Amino acid sequence: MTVTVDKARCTGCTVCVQSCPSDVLRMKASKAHVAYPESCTDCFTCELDCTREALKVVPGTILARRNDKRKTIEEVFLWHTTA
Amino acid sequence: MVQRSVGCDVLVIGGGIAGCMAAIRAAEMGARTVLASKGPVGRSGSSVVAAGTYLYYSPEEDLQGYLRDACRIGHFLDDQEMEEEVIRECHQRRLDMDKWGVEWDKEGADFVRKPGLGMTTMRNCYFHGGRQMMSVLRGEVERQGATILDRLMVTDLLTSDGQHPTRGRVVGAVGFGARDGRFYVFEAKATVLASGDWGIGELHPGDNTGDGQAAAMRAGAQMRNMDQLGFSVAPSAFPSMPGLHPLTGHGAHFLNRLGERFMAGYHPELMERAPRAVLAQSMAREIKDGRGPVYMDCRHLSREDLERLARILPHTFKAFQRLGIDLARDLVEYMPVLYGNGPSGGVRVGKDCRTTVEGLFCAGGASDRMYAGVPGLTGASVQGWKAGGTAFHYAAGQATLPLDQRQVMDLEKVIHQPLGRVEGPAPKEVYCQVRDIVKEKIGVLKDGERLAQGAEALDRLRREVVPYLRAEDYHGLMRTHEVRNIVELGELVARASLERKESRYFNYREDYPQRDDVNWLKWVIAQTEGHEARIWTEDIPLLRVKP
Repeated sequence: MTVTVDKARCTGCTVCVQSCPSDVLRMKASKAHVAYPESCTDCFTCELDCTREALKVVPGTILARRNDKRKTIEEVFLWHTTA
Repeated sequence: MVQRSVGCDVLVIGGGIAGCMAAIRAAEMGARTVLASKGPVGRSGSSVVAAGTYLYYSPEEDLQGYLRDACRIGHFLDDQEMEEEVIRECHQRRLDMDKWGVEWDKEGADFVRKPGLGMTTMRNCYFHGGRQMMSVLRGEVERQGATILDRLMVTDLLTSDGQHPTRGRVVGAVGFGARDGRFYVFEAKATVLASGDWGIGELHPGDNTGDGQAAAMRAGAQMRNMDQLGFSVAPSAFPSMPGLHPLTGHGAHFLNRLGERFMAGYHPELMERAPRAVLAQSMAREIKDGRGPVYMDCRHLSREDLERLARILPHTFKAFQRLGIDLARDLVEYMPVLYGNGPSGGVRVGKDCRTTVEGLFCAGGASDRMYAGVPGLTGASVQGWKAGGTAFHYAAGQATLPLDQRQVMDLEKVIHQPLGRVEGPAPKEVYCQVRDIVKEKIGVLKDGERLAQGAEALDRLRREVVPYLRAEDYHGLMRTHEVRNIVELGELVARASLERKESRYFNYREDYPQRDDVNWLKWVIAQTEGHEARIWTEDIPLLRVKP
C-alpha cells in the first residue's frame, strides 16, 4: 500500500480526508482510513497536511502495481462474452 | 436521485491556478461566480504539485528576446500573440500573488532567478511550492465571494440546441458529487473550463484525466496540437516526482550506464537544461540503444544549492530520504515518463480565451496552451485571469437561456448508468490497458504503424468496452467517467500524432525523424463531427518570430 495511517497518532481531524486530491481517504471509527488504495498517486498531500505525522507515503508502489498480473486486452474486450 | 440546480453568471470548472484566477477575476468584477472542482480546490490538479517554477519577466527585460527564446523552445507551435501576452502579463500576476501572500524564493527584496529547461534569454523564479500558493489562491477565491463546490465532477456541457456537437452555445453543465452521487445542473451565462490537461498518472497528477477537454470535444469545440503528447523524465522509483526544472537549473547531470554525460551528444549547448522534449527523447534513445539505465547525478552540487533545493522541493527530498537516496552521495535512476498533453495541446482558444463554441471559455492545461515555451503554470495564471474577465463581459450581455430538459435527462442517465450494472469491466482494468497502449503504441519515440495500432485499439475500447463500464460506488462512478475521457482523448492523441508527418517538439516520429519547417509549420486541429473526429491542418501564422 502506498499510503498508511498510524491510527494511534491520528486524532480524527479529517484534514487529510478533505485534502486528498484522488479521494483515497475516508473516515472510519473517527479515524482516517485508506478506503481506495488503488487511487493513490504518491502525491504526498495527506502526509504534508497532517500535523500529527499520522500518514506516511512510500513512493514506488505505483511502479510495482504496474507489473501486477492483470487481464490482457483481449480478455477485457471479451468480458461480455465470457462473463 | 435528488437534483440540485445551480444558477450563476460565470461557471468555472476546475480548481487549479487557472480556475482560481478565473474565479477571482470574474467575482472581483461582480459576476455571480461558482467554482466547481472534482478534487478539493487548493489541493488538486497540477498546480498544487508544482515545484514552484514561474517565468520571471519584468518590463525592463527584453520582451522580444523572451519571445524568441519561447518560440524556439516550443518549436514554433505557439500562437505568438498569446505567448507574448503571457510573457508580458505574468509580471502583474506574479506581483498580485506576492501581494496576496504567495511566498517566493528571494534574496532580500529580489526574486532569485535561474534559467529553466531550454532557456537562453529567459529566467525563472520560484515560489515555495504549489501547496502554499494554492492555499493562498483558495483564500482569495473565497475573499472575492465566489462559491466553491469541492468534489464535484462536471461530466458534460449543456447546449442551447440540446445537441452534441452543438451549433448553438454552451448554457451550463451537468455533473455529480464524487462522494454523494448527487446530480447537479448548472445554468450559466458563461462557462470557463479550467480542469487541466489529459494524462495518465505517472509524472502527471492522477486526477487530471482531461475531463473538461473531453466534454468540450463532445460539445463540438475544436482541439489543437493534440499530437503533442508530452513526456518528461523522472526517477524510476518515484515517477510522480516534481522538480526537474529546479534540479537541472541548479546543475544536475544525467549519465548513461557507461558514465557518459549523454546529453552532450543531443544538445551540446544546453546539455541537461535542454527542453523537456529533447531530454525525454534522448533518454528514451539511450535506453533503446542499450546504454541504459540512465541516472541523475547531483553529487557535485554545493551544500548551499542542495539546501535551497530541499527548501523548494520539500516532499521530493522527503521521498528521496525514504527511498534511501542521498543526493550528495548517490546516483538516482531515471526514465522517460508520460506527462499527458501538459506541454501543449487541448481546447483551441484565441488570445481572449474564447473557444470555438460560443459561451465556452478555456484556460490553463485544458486549453491548447499556445505558450508551450514558458513554464505551464505561468501561462495558466495569465490565461485564467484573462478568461475570468472575458467570461464576465460575455455574461453581462447574455440572458439565461432555458435548458433543454431532454438533454439534461439524457446526460443524467449517462452519469448514473455504470452504477446500475451488475457486470462489466471495472474502470481500473481499462485504465491499465489505456496506459499500456499509450506507452507502447504512442510512446516517446513514435512510429506510424504503432500509432495506427494504438488508435485502433483505443477506438475499440471506446466502442466496445467503455459503454459497459461498471461502478460499485460513487468513487468508482468518478473513475468510470475518467476512464471514458482518457480513452476518447487517447484515441485523438494517436490520430493527431499520425497526421503530422515530420518530427516537431514532443511529436517525435521515428519514420519522419527530421523537423520540416518548409511543409510542416502547421497546427493539427480536430473537431467532432457526428460520432467521429475530423482532423485537418492549418498554417501557423508567424506574426512575430520566424524560425
